[in-house]
Amino acid sequence: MKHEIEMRTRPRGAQAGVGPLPASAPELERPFRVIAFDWDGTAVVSRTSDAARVARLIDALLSLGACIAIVTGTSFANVDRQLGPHVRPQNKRRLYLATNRGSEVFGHDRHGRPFVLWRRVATAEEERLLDAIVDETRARLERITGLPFRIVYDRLNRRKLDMIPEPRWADPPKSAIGELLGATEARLRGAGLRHGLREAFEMMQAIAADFGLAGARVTSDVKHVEIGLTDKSDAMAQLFAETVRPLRVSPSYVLIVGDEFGPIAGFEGSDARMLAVPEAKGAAIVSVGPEPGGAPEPVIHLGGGPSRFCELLEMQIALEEKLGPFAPPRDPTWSVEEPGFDVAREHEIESLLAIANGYVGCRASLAEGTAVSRPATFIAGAFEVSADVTRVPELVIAPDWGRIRLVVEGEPFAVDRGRILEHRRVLDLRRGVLLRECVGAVDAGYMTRLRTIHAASLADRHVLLEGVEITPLNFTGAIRVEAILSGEVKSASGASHWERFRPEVGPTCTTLVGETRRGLVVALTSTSRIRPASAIARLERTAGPTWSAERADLMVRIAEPSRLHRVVTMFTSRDAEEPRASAKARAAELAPLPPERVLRQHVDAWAERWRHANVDIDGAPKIDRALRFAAYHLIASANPEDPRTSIGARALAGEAYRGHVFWDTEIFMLPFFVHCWPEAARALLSYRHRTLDAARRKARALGYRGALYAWESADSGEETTPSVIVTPFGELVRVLSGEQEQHISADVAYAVHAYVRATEDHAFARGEGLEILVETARFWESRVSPGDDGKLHIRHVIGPDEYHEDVDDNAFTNWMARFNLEAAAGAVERYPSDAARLGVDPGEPAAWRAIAARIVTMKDPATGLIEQFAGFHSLELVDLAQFTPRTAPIDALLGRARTQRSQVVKQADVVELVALLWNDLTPEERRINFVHYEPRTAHGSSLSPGVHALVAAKLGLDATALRYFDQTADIDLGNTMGNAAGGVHAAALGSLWQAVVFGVAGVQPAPDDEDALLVAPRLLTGWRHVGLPFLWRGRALDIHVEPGSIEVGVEPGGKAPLPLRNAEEEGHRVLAEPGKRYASRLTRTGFGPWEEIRG
Amino acid sequence: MREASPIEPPREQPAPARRRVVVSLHGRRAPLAALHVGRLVADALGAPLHGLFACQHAIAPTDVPKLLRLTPEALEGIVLDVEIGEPAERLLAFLQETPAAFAVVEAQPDETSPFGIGRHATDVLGRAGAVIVVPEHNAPERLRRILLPLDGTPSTAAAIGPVGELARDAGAELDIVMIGAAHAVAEPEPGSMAPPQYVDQPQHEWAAFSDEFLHRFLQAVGHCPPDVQTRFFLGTGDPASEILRFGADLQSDILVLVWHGHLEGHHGEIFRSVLKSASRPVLVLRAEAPPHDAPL
Repeated sequence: MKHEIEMRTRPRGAQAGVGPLPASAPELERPFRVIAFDWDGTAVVSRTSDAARVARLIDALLSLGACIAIVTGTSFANVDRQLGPHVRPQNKRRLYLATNRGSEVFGHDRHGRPFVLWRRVATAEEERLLDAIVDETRARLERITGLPFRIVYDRLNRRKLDMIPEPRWADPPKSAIGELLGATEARLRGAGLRHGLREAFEMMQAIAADFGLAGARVTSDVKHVEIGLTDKSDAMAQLFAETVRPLRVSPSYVLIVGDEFGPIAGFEGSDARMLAVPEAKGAAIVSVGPEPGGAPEPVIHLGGGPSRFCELLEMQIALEEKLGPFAPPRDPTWSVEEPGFDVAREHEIESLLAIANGYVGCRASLAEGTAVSRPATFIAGAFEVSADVTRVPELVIAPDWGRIRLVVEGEPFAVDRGRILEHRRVLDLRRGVLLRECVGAVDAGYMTRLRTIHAASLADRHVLLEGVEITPLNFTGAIRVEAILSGEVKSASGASHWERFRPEVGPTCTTLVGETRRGLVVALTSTSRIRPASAIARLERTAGPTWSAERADLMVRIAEPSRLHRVVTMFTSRDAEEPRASAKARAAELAPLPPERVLRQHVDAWAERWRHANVDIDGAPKIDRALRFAAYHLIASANPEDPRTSIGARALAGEAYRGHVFWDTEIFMLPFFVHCWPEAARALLSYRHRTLDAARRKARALGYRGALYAWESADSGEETTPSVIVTPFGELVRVLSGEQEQHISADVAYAVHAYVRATEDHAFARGEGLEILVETARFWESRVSPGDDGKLHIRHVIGPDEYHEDVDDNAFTNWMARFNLEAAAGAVERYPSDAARLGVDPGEPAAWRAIAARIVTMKDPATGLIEQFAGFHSLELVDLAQFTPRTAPIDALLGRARTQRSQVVKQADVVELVALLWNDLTPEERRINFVHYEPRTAHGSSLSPGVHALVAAKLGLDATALRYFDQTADIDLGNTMGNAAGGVHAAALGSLWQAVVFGVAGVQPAPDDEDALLVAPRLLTGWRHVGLPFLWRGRALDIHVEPGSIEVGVEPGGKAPLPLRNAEEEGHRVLAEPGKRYASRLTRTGFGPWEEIRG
Repeated sequence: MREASPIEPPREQPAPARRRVVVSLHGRRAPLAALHVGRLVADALGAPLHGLFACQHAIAPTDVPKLLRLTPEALEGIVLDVEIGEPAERLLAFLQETPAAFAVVEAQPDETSPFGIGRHATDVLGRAGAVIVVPEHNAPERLRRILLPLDGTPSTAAAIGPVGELARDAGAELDIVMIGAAHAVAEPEPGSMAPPQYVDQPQHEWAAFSDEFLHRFLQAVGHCPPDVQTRFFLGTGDPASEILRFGADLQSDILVLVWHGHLEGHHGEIFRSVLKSASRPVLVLRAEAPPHDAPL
């Protein structure tokens, strides 16, 4: 019998026994992100065997970011006993155990402690039925055979009927399954059960049906026939719901391993149920078991048992080394993956996966180009005139630095020409690199694997990195690679910003110097190295009128990769007197360094940024990844070394909005920088200081004093809002935002105040910050006008709700103006000598305060409801639910005129006020205003859902908050509208960070204590943990929020203790000392006193 | 005269199919509007214009003008083909042999037909690739403006090649219209676009949206020649009414409908409604069914 089984276990294309892994399974040579496997028989020989080897491999894969899911019929304790001691606690967050044959799934918290993620709880009736079915099956079997059968009752949601209760078979190892099968069949058939085990199995199925147990799962491991409420498919469904589904992990990155996929004794193997979930389709499936009945398609049958399984894991770890910098990240919460090549989606993919370093930004266009590619490299803060009718400034499109031309045996290689078998791009958020893998053949059939890596160095912003790995897969022959610097670029408006180019070819690098029409000089150098050098047949540098190129003719050998490492340097006349000389000098400095080291410096710079910016959310993987994506693009867009630039509405990822700067930066993005990268926040605010003169001119032109910032600002700060647009309805419409959306000045002032409060940057506060506050306050002083009611009014404005133009007393504007005036008065009083230097009259602060007190608030004193603007309440009430779902913005459906006559709100307006001026409203006022305006808001702006998520979370409106979180996370990553094609929505990204940190974690300055920080969380349903770094007044905090507790650690350092509070009113306070950790537990009356805990 | 042969002649490496325009002729009345539109299209494309006369008995091509009560001059420049058999079947056979052809058929109002047009035109529509349905008395003088409604799916845009060429060759402007509506959901097909839900700043968003829409669906997917003048419009409300309204407001000379071949469902209903109510020629382009999401 045993021999017979062995004869049938020979796998397809693989030899029996534990030899080397077969080369015929290239599908296993990919870095799997999710590895799900059976335990007994697959990972370990038995429950008593030494699991150290497999456990250490699991630990290593977890540390690489892989998600490991163990799916077993046994209990958690049995697996944990073997596995637990060898896996480091910090790696366990991605370790899942689905135990008791699909009845429970365990995860691990940030400390490595297990918790029940999901459990199937049987009803009393189900328990009764399970007993009855197994009892009845035993009775019938005993009647037929006269043999004894033993029942195991004490299993979760199942009962086991032992078919062979004999001492010899008390605990048979999986490897003896053939022998066990023979013995069981012999026992049953010998006693008159004609069809043996199969008959017993079918008998239990029939009895379960007769007894009416819905969804009964009958399984067998040969020794037992079992009746249960779950099986491994339930485990897989839960595991995939937690890991694969929310992050859309490509099935080709999922590995499923078992030892019993094929039929045993005529019924399906227990591991076959692991495949009964949709996500398993397309996954790599491997059996290391003997598979006596053969393994079904598409299982790759390797055999070899746990030893072979360990080899498989070792191969995975070795793959990391083999791929080197081209290895894609395993952890899907740290990456954004775009498989395939879709001409329709190409522009949005180019935006989403863009790389940038605050100085330069590059869309993720394919290096060799396609007919639909829109490559663009942006230089932050550099503008040229657009070619369309508006003639407004637009971001300069710099020369294309990453262009590659690849010629395989004389034929150009391109995804839109040849036959492409595989293609994917992955943005590695942790390392800040864009990766690509492509397998394709040119027309003649030569097949090549192409891997690329691109980075804009965060360690040295003047350095751009490109790596290309080329592997011929079915030939030995000639490949030409050209690394090009190209000035053949145009903007989306059709403008060529370049007046002239001067290409150069040198002995070690190529150079391209260009000058724009407005006189900006940009110089790039390119230095490429080929490895192995022995592959180079010929290397030359060449140039044309607008380009220069390094050209290498390679003789490549089948299956042997050749790599090109390229370092590009870039300087402009904005940052160097002699850009060409600077670019060449930097290239010379980098020349002796190995490319890996230059990349390492970049990766280390990202690691340092993530140390201050990475937020972990357990229990909401979609939001967890979306927030990381948000932080990635925000970090990539800022440059603390350049106070002349700010961040445009679409960051450095696309040309939409032309790089113009709006209130988006100060209100939506800046808080992230204030608390994660204050140096960048300071630079962003310095941009506003540098554009004060333009703001003064704008105010003066409109007849006011002080500074009125441009609604749309480019390099100079002059107003760049187009004055008219042609709508897609064919109407010519005036754009009033440039004149009337004046809250921008108060928004900048608000940001200055928030920055200074959070950083105690006194130098900024008494210098640039003070001047901004004073000049904006002066604007409001001149802007208000007295009314018959004795109050002061601000008329003819547009608030955040841009559906309503030319309104009087927009509440948001009025409240923010009041805040601006008060903040300026406070700053002048704090820094009188600096204020005097700015020419502030000693009487001005008092005047500002008096004005602030008289500005109408639009708040009904009886109800606390704030009217959005004068007359808003009397407008037509439109039930937005009647227009849901819709495929057009609401103002398009209602028409412009009706929208303006209605209470339909474009985006958070009063709700924005609630979010920003939270402490100025009572808890009841916050609630009634949110509840009043939320149903009236159509979210016609990407700025809106995040603010609603924030306020809803703080108000404890769980379901509403979750809905808005989902909506915010989808703005770019769930893009089905194509509007990410022009770049990511930077303000929405910032709003997501605020919604998590301010909204859910409840971190905010204490309302009544200048120095204190409040941590008053409202964790949402399903969210198990939010962990975040937070900078506050020079202290780096490590904050963790869990359902029943808050934990705060203060980084060691010389700063004074920090007052911490855990509730807005009352609450407990502690002076948190540097280097110590504190925890507060939730009690029935709120969070209890802080206790110092061990780190 | 050609007769349908059951035996296929031996095939050699085919030369690129020459574009042709064929006007369907049958009965005793000349479809004057259809002939006029056929001429406009053929002239624009520089393609030969055929008049395919189908009848039950063999006649000579020289008899066709008389049967249609026209002078020979009225059919000047038209290659007259005579086929024996049912008119729609013969026309379809012609189209099968010359797949690059445009067929022109008269609408002949018929309230009982699903499209509100005669049985002959209905039969041809169901099975042909590019058919211009011309109302009995409504032929434009020139082809200056072509209205092309798109639903924002790649599978629809993939079918618009012929209209791009027609617009280029006729020097006509292509007016793209997309319709948004309440109680509607975005198309699930990968790569689809719906009007932007978030119009943060209309002065930028609409320009960016229409730029991306035109680039995606006209150039990248539809392979429309780049030198065709295009305008983009967004309509809202009932799609069929909006298409007809835009056709009237923009004084379109011809409407284009891309049809996936289904009469049922949302798209089928729009198709039927427009065809039934159109007072100007409608070019119907057949599209493949939307693909499944299948990354490489």
